[in-house]
Amino acid sequence: MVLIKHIGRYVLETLKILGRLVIFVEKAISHCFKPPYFYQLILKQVIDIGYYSLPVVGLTTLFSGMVLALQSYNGFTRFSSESAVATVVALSITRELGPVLAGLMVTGRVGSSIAAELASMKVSDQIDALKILGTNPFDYLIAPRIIACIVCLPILVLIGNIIGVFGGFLVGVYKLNFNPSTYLYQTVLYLEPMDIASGLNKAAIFGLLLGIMGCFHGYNCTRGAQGVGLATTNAVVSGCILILIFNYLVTELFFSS
Amino acid sequence: MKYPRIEVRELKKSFDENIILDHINFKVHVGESLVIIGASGSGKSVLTKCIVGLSKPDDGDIFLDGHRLETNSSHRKSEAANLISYVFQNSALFDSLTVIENISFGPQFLNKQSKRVANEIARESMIKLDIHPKFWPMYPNELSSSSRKIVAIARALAVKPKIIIFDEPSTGLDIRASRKLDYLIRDSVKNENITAITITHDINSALHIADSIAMLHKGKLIWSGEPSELKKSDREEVRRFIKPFLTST
Repeated sequence: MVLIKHIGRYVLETLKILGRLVIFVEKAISHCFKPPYFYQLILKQVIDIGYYSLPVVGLTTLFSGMVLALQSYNGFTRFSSESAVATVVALSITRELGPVLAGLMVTGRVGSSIAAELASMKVSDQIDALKILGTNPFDYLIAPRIIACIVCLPILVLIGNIIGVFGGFLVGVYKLNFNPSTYLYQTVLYLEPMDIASGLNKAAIFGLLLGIMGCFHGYNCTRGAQGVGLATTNAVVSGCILILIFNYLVTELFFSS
Repeated sequence: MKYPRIEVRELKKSFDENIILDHINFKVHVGESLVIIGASGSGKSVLTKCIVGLSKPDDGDIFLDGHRLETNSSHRKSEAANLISYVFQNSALFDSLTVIENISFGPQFLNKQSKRVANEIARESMIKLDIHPKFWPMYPNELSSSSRKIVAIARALAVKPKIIIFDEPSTGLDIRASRKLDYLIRDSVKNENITAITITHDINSALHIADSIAMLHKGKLIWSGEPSELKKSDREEVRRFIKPFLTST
């Protein structure tokens, strides 16, 4: 009987959080499309989220491209298909690794900071102070962050893709002794606009997810300093899990046929 | 007919099984300074948050200048926003904004003034409250707690409210800073003819600020009257609450 009670309470609690999340998402997205727009705040978030994430995303994709070139070469030599290395690196980076790695890294860097910032504002009554001063926190705090995440992630992924492919090129040419022009030719030969577009679409969706998770957990933070820590952890964990789930769903949507 | 500036009728609020506010009734007239005293957890903050629209009461009515506030939905957007200002217990200054930006925030976004005019209002407000210009470009974390409280009061006054609510203004301050703040609150309220509700558990502050005092105990308004009547109250809870303050002074 006690077990059933516990399960029931857990289910109800989960449903309550889901309900709150759905209402939050609806409110957050609707505020992204209606004025007032705080352009300066959006720009500040674009710089914080986009510009300052560049080194992290760049390094991650650079080394991923390099490792990918090395690993695929080792594998393909068994089938005498070394020439496919450049194509595999380009396709893997643009379709999968670029968006997913950038999404996960930015969630770790930005999702956590959004959650921590909003949570500490919440526990120190700054969000209530905003309401008192006639400003809707969804306009002033949530929408600029979500818009910046949606705008920045595709740009970061595009730059990350170029750096990742360049990483593969470096290893291919200087370590595996590929001819540079042949490598570049192989890189673009099988790469279609759809490959790049699907990666950028994924990135925009990942941006939305990490922005919403950071804002949701930060905005609904309770229990003081402990709550701030919990909000940060939850934002990163839920953001990463959702990115991996949606990565599959979007891939299924684009490439199932 | 002249209405009280604030009238609270049969206000009720509970969290789960706990009754926080139980049939609260009171009126505050224009220019009056009401101080609500009570121990921690007596429901003081919840009461003021209901009045200002940050918390929804379960039942009861709140009237501002005779107009009933829509308490079933957040009334911050409408009537109350331009009437009531709130000074939070922990000041709640925006970390990312400087002192002058904090104070000009209300005039700019609530009163819809241009940035230039809002800055001008903020400057006037800071001069009035004797905030030294060296503090103007500083961030809240660079200020002492008493300076933060004064900036929070300046921010609340800058929107030219008709009603101002102070939540535990002297908490965390030494006696000297606390008395200075009491005078500041009293003078600001009298000079601007603002109706004030101050919640505190500091009787000495209450006696300095109040035109009238009310006491909340376990969610019920158990006593109200003039400051001079407080010490003569025959309510056991009131006498027990004020006893430590009277013996220490």
